[in-house]
Amino acid sequence: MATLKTNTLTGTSTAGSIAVTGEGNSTTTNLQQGLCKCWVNFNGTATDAASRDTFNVSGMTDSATGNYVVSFSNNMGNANFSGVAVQGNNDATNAGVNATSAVGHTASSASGIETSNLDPASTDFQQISAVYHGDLA
Amino acid sequence: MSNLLVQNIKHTNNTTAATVSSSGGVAVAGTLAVTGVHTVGNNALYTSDAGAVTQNLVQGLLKAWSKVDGESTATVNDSFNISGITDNSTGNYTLAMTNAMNVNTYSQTHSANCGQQAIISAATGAYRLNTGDSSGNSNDVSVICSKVSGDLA
Repeated sequence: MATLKTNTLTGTSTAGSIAVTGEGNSTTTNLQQGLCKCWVNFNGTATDAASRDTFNVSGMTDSATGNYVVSFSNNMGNANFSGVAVQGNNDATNAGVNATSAVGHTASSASGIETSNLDPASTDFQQISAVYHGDLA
Repeated sequence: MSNLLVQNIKHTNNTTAATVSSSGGVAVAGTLAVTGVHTVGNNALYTSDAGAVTQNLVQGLLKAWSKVDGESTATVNDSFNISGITDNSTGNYTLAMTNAMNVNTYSQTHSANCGQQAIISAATGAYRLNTGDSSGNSNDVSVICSKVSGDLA
């Protein structure tokens, strides 16, 4: 086995663009574009929407019931990134499938997450996960 | 120990293949091809898309993904780092991971073609999810996609 040891991967032609060969060996794809730029697992029932585990998150804001803001440590390049969120009650018999999560307003520095039941009424959930893909600044 | 003191590595046609900086960095001019299986350390950084910052490479990688048919006998159609699925009950599935996560606080996101999905629980070696119909009742569905981000063991 060969081991490539390095501290920083930077493109030669364009610093933020490195090509990697795809699994099928027929194409290359952009390494940076394929990386998750932020992920978070947080407790939406806590008063401060306390995060359990994160990457590239500088802080959480509990704006209102079922309404949260995830702030990024390193900003995105614009507000047009892709975000996905899912909720749960941490309860096998009432998981929270009768509910929905949405990534709402976005800015280059933060993203809103809204969770609600099917009425729909804004609702806090014990388990909320989100991931973000797009262009870092 | 032998030392090779060099600033440039060139092809015999005088094309520069790599340049060694005074701080010890190496810039490869062309394609860097490593023969065999190669490993990237978990402290590796990458330069961001717009070049303004660096972030940890391994933290940005998905640690597992799957596409599942949850109807009748639940089947994993395609996956990465998924060792199997258990159909616990209607709309209730456990996906086991080949390489376990380090802690159970990772981020898991799911999408089901019914439009309703929820997290049930997480353990280092597996995670459990729920899918439902538009009324919010547990229901088996034919397309369930899930992704796991976080720290591998």
